[in-house]
Amino acid sequence: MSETIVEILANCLERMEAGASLESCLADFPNQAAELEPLLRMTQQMKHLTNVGPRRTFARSAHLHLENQLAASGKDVTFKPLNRLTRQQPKLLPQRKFSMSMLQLMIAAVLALAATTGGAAYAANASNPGDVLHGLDIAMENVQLNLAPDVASKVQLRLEFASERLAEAQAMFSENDADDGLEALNEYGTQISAIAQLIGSSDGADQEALALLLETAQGIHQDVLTNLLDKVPEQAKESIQRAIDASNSPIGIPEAPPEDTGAPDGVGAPNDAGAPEGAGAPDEAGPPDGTGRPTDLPAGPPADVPHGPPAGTPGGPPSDTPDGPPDNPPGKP
Amino acid sequence: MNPQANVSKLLAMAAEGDRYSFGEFYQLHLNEIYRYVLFRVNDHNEAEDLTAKVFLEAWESLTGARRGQKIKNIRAWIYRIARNKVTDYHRTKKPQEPIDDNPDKKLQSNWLEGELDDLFISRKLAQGVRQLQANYQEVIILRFINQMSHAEVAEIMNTTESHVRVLQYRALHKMREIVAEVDNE
Repeated sequence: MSETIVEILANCLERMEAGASLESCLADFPNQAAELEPLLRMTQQMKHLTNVGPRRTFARSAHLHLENQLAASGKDVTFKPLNRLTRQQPKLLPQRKFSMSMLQLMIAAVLALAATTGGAAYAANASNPGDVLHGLDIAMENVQLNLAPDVASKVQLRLEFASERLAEAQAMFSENDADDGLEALNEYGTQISAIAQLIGSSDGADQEALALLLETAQGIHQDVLTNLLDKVPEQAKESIQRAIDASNSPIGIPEAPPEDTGAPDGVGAPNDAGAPEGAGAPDEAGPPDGTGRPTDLPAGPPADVPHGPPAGTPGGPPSDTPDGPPDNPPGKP
Repeated sequence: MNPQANVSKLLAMAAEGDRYSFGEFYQLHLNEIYRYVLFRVNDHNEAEDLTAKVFLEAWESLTGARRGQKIKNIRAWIYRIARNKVTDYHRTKKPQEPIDDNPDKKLQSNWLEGELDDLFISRKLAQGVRQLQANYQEVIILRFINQMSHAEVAEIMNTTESHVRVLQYRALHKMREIVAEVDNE
């Protein structure tokens, strides 16, 4: 073996990695070209092997598995796909308070996604309603919600999930699958309703910032929904119109916590657009009717939204709301 | 800011207990670590299990007893964890029948073929990689499949760049022989 050819090979490889052609390298070393050429061609062919990656099921389950292991050891970690809002703002979620600049960045991220994809990007890596994996997706979303450290994180997660559901609805309706499209719309409504409740349970600056974020996202969602109206069968139009009305509604942030009800005023859709039945009510919180949710589907409170009493009322938050209501932590009157 | 600096920042945040940063780090490196492990162990299930262990150990290293240690090259660091896991795996697994004792076995392997049905050349190359001796295999995987520089490979393999160049030359020649054999069968 010649030391020279070792160095020449390494040199050629580095040049090719920097963009030079194989031919130019061979031309520079005519005496070694016969030996070099097959080796260099083989290295080029090996680039095909970079396509080998983990199975999708592994990528999903590995997240869950690792989360569980770390959570069990008190070192919990939550994984978020890179194509979501945190891609631009990896440090965003742990923030307890939103500064205006951060809020602007969050909104910019929402707008950028909507501008480039029409809102459909969220569904790129997700299963659709009716898919075998859809149940797993939803279960994993719930795990993420359970691990989210505070209300702001939960709101952001739910906003992502809402956008995914909306994109799934788009996909389903474009495939003339009205049933699954309506189911996705129903899940969208559930998320929006839960977000409104979460915002109602947050405090001060967070509440204002999160409400603005939701309004921005809803503006985008409304465009998507309006576009859908022209493309769906007649029986779905009414549901979509109600969802549009719901996204038009102001976000209800209670001026003061109600004494004996968990439903923040105005949370969810307005009454004339299919008010969310029990949105925020302690045991019946579910998606707003106005989003096309079939009435025979079981309704239950989302895992991470305050069950019943919003901020400042006794009763205790769900176990996955570590921050709890700001003024009255669990068990504290 | 260069990518390495970005990842450094992610890890620094993770070491401070920022859970999301570690999630980002995981997403960034999952594919390449999985690929490295898969080509070293030739088994999807083992590769999945080992890859999960690699990231668990990385997290423990960041937040546990070794917290605060200076990580010079993050990519090399996570690969070294993966390398150790693969070494442990080979040390403890049951001995297998040597592949060369049964030439037909070379073509019976289906560990990657299912994914590369339409890439005949890739399939041959994948077979070639799995038949290399360990250090040749490692150089080929790191240099040409995961596309790392001589310097990065040297750091991961704990050797010099000039030794990596020598290994690379020998490994490519051996690969060529193996692929030629597959062509002739």
